[in-house]
Amino acid sequence: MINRKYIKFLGSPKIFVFTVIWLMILVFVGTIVQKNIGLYAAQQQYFSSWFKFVGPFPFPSGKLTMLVLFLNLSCYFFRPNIFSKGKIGITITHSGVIMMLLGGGLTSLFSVEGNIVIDEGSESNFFESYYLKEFLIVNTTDLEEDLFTVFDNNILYKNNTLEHNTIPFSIEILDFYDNCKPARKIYQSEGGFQGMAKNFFLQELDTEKEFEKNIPGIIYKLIGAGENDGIYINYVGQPITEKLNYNEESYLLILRRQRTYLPFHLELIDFKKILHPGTNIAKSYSSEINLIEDDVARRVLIEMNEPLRHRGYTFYQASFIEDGMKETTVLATVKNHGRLFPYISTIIMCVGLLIHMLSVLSRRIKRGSAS
Amino acid sequence: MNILILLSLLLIVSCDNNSIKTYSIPKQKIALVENAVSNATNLFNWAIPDHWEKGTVSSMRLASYNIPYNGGLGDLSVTNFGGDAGGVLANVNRWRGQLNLSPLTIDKLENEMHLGQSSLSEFKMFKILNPEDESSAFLCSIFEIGHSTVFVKLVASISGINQLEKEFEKFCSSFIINDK
Repeated sequence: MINRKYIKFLGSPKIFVFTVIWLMILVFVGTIVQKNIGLYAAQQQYFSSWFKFVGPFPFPSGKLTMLVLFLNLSCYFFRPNIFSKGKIGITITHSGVIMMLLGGGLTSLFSVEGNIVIDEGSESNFFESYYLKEFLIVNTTDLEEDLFTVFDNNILYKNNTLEHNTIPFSIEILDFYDNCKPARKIYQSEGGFQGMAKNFFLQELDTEKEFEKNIPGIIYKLIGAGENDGIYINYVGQPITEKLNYNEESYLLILRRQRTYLPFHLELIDFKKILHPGTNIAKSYSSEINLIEDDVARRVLIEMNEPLRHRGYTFYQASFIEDGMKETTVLATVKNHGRLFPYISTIIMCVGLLIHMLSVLSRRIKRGSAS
Repeated sequence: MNILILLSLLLIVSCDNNSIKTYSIPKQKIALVENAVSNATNLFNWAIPDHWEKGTVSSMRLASYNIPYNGGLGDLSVTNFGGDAGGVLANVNRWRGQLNLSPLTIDKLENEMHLGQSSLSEFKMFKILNPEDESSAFLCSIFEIGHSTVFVKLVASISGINQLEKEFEKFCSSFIINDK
């Protein structure tokens, strides 16, 4: 009985209408503020979070709004007679919308995207996230292979302590900057600083509108590593990797963009760029790639608007780098588990609406002929 | 309905709890990757005297300079390789081989080495000359910076090397992280 009350309340068409209006407001405001705060920040604040705080007041953000919409629409399926002749079209349409929302949820939770950068003649089997970072400790003691312990972006925040059974010391994060630059200390600090932190400090900067241009940095304290204990700094792209030896083991400490490893390799055979005649503006560019999987290579051409799709990954020709004689291709890479949901759900919604309209039409015709 | 709420809660709490992961990668592959990164970022810099002229940069060289001395022009190159690029001993012996000198053993390496200091890192400097060949001699420095190694090499005659030795060391000491 209580369930029925809940369902009636949660499935109320009023909630649906207010949620859709709120979504429209979110999309409008999110699009406007994007000009000032950048695409990534707008997406995070207005769509990918649960709440958007305006001063001390929390407002539901995109994630929460979509969840309410999902629950609201799902309540429809608890109504009686939804598979009756008159309601089947509406039921199918609801299924389509639910499917689309589910696809959106899957995409927001599990999709990964980034860039894969390959020099001509080289190969790569990973791509780096545009926005997310990772902090890694690499044990380089073994002669054959290196052991990586990787701490993800979501645990890299001030005052958090990083520990794992693969490393004999712990790392206390003193500060984490989304954007910073290394600056030289005017005079050497008193003890306690190690590695690059002896001569440099990290200066926090305002974040760039184009979030991928930021240089994230971390200040941390190593505890339990004997004489290596102390304060260190790391930033993305640091030319000097922090390294230390403890208990006859060697470690590297690195902050870098989050990597996703592919179950295959891509080798860039040739990069081609065609310019508009008489200009330096690229008309088209393409990458001839060797896709190497299980030691078997096959040639693939990735062009603008003609991506490579393989094992759930999609590689788009996004950009290129020219450095003297060397050419480098940049492929935008996406793995999206909810990729097919919009297509399938749209078809389902169309079918549902068509059935509903036809049934309404036939009812009206019948009513007309009866009267 | 309860199932629906449970499902939604599951969705909420399933947001990536695997915050720490571990994996192993064969050594050679990471060295290559780190090399690519360090070349791409190229965040260190150096200072040169006014009279040095820029030479031709190739895909191997980060920078080249032509350095005038009394009697000729020295060729200085700056290169950066991933990992230890074979190690100090192997590289010193490779350079010695280029001047038809016999290889050194590890215990004799330190006698030939002069330690210098820059803001980038400590560097090992070697003066390599073959008295039987006046026309060609080397001054070389090796900076081991984490996962990559920077080499600075000056090629000139023995007389040129002697004249440019202090200038070369000063140049190596000027290596600094590019904080701009």
